[in-house]
Amino acid sequence: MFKKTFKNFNWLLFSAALILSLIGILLIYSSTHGTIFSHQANLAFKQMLWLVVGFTALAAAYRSDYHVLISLAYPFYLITSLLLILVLLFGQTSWGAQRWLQIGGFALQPSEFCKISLILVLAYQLERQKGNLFRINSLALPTMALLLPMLLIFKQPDLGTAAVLFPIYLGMLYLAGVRSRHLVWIITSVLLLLPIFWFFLKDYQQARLLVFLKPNSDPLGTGYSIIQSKIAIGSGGLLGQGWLAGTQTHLHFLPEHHTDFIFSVLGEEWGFLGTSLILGLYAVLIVQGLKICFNARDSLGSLLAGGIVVFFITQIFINVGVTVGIMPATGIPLPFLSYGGSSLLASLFCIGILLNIQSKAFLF
Amino acid sequence: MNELITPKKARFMFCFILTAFSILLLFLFFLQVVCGGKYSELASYNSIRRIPLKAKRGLICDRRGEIMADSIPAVYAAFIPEELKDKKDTLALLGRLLSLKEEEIAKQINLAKRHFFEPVKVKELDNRDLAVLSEHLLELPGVFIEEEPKRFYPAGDLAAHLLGYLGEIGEKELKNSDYFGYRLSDLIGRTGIEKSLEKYLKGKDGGKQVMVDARGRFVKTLGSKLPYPGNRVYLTIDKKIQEIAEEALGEKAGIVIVSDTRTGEILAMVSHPAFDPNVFVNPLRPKDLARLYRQSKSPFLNRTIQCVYPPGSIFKIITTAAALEKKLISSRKELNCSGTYKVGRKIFRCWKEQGHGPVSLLPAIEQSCNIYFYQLAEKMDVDDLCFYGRDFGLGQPTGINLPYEQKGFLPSRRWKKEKHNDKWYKGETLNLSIGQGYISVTPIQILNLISIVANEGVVYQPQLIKKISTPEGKVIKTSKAKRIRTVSLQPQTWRLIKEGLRQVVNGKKGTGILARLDNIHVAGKTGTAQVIKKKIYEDRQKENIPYRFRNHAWFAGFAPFSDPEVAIVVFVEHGGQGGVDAAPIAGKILEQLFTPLEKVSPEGDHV
Repeated sequence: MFKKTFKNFNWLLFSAALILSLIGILLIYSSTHGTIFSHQANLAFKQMLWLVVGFTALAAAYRSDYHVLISLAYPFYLITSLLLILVLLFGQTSWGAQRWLQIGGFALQPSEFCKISLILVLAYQLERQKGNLFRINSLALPTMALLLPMLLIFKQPDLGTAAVLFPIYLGMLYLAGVRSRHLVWIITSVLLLLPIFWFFLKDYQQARLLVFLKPNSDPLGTGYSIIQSKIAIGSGGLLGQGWLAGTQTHLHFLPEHHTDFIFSVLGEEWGFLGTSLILGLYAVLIVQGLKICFNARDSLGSLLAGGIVVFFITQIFINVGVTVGIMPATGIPLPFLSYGGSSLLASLFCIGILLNIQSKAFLF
Repeated sequence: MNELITPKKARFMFCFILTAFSILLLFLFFLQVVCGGKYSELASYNSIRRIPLKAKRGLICDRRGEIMADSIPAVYAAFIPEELKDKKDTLALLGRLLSLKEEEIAKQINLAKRHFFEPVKVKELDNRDLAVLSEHLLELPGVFIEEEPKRFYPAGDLAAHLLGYLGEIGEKELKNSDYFGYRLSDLIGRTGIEKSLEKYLKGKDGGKQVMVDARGRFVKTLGSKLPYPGNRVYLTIDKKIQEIAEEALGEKAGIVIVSDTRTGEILAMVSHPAFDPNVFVNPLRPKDLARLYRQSKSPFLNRTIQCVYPPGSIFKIITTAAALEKKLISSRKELNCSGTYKVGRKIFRCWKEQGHGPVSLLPAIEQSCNIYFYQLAEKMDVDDLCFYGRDFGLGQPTGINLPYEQKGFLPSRRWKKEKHNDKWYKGETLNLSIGQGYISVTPIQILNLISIVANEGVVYQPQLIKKISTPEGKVIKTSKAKRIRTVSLQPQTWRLIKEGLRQVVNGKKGTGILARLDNIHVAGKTGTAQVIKKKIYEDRQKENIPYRFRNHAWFAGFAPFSDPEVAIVVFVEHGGQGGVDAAPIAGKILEQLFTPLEKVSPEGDHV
């Protein structure tokens, strides 16, 4: 029984995800303990509850069949799009952006689930059009599937998440065999459209992007976050200040340190040793994901696994990039580590799908 | 492996991911291992301090450039609570020097809404305080002297409602992206021009990030952004006329508005009782505020736009217009006034008990005969009457650039049916024809109405803003006279209405003769708006009627008659009679406006 259940189970992938999530809870605890803000008092405990929910979702995804999941792609996509519209209508506002739906005591962030639904729909659509992707107009449907949630999230406005959707789309098109020439066209046209896009940005978003180019121009606002984040990470040195001992974090020089800037907390308290350990764990996770993608039983499995891998690598690269100052501050969570139930749930569910794809594969 | 995966793709994806990880690892190595020493020095206990540099709020001037709301430097004693070495001793010494109680200072720490390592203001310093504190600053680690611009209204309560006042930004507003750039404890406009032009007046705050040593002494600046002052606003108000108007109204509750009929520019806007907006600027003086709030007669209401009242006999202008346009009467036809008039079982009265006898239109306007207008109203449909009311701008906001403008009310048959489930009665039309009953207007609407008469139908947008310029003096916005529409009546109708209004002030029996001037022809209309049904107090002298039941007094007029330049509205709340209590105030103001020697002309723009 046991042997059958865990036939072809990728323990390496599973363990990496588990260890990362547990470290996340330690970091959230460290960044919020002794806080004077009452709403931050129990966040580590709350995250543990989400972890249980997340692993249940992982188990469910593993025990199901990704073919069944894919067949539900469009309904799932419709539901998440609907939720995004609900967020725009009734969502909670925080610093000018509407991102959360309040359900019971928990705040749900539909844009996290929308990333999964986009991967599912693209996998389904590209699989159906397989071998028929040589002409540029055959890309109409996948592009529309991208644009709907992207515009809705952009409207919230949540630039970061909207931007994460694009690499997922690009990566999956590449995997599906779209001509490189067409991919280059898409990238160039997006680059050409960027100046127009600039005018649709709210003041504070323009400010954030400008600050990226010149952090000292806004020492009290966003530039402050970036400077402080770099100081926090840098002051960690080789070995770090030790868990619960980061001064930058605990003196609240760093804003949003339990969500978007959790990596700065890690850098300060655990040093270069800690940051390279975490990057190593992420590398294990990504490499296992790639192997699953390459060895999947059918193209559907490959597309799905490929989408998930791109999703992870994009979020990791942008989030860590922001904290070390090589990316503009956009506010997207670090998978498994940042505080946030929706993000953790979505990430663990994706790991479940990867495990399921491997269990259906011939090899291994 | 399936058909999608080619070795080339696999290699490319693997290399791509390897590159991404290498970049991150390289940057982390650089930041943590190579530069680790430098950053940990920066991170050593509170070595970096943020100092906000607040922008000077834009000035508000009158049309000649006289400053009505200034921005002056103020000096404060402040300290950073996280940095006090020996909290109790320091606060005790600070309290002794500034003659404050130690507990009071401690309370400020809890009250202050701030981020960590941001200063708490203790007290605004006068010269003595400043000298004493500077001397002892070395004994007070963590305490320093902070300079910040502060709003100042040099004329105190002059035009207070118009200018408005400031208040601390709320936490809800802070989360709204419209208020991007605002910080906790910032002041924003709460009423008046301060509110409606907030985005022009605010300016851009700056700030700097400096490195300090372990004892809090400045080492070097890491980055800074200078603040940029707000724009300068020139109002259409003339401060001299405003002063004349406030003085003429005196201590009475009420309003005065004066405007230029040729452009719609407001020259003076008085609402009384008023308040001193300086009180709101300094949150460390809560006692003054409490006293203001306790005052009776609602000093914070701008009665010119925020309060509605029955128009009383001023509405007879509308009734006249409706009757002439609908050809219900010839101007020469006389109707008899015996002092009472019976409709059904109900008796309506004229204000003159013994009646006016037979009167035609012009004497009826001159003497404000109610019974003459009742007889016109009997032939009239309420919806027709209110059509003209609306045409003259009643029952709708004028769109003046001030927050919280009320729109007033005009009735209709349909409204009566829907609201009261009842038909419209003839008697109600009679009441309406003299401006009583289901009707309410704001004083600014009456100003609009009288200006329309003066201009024979041309409607100008009432304006308060002359122009807005940058601190360097570059004009970014000017407002020109804006004709928004025309009320088209026959020329004969305009002639009769204006002649009627001329006789109100200049006729032998005119109700408005107290507004008469020797050198200038004034035209206008008086109004006395009943607060409750007349008969209860009709036998008593004004002094014997409780204040809140006394009638409101109106006067609305324009001058000079033949070539109008200014319109004026005076309203005295529970003041008594329009002719006795409002008209003389208007007369006094107009007299000074048109004094030949020292003419205070609205044309003068020495800006």
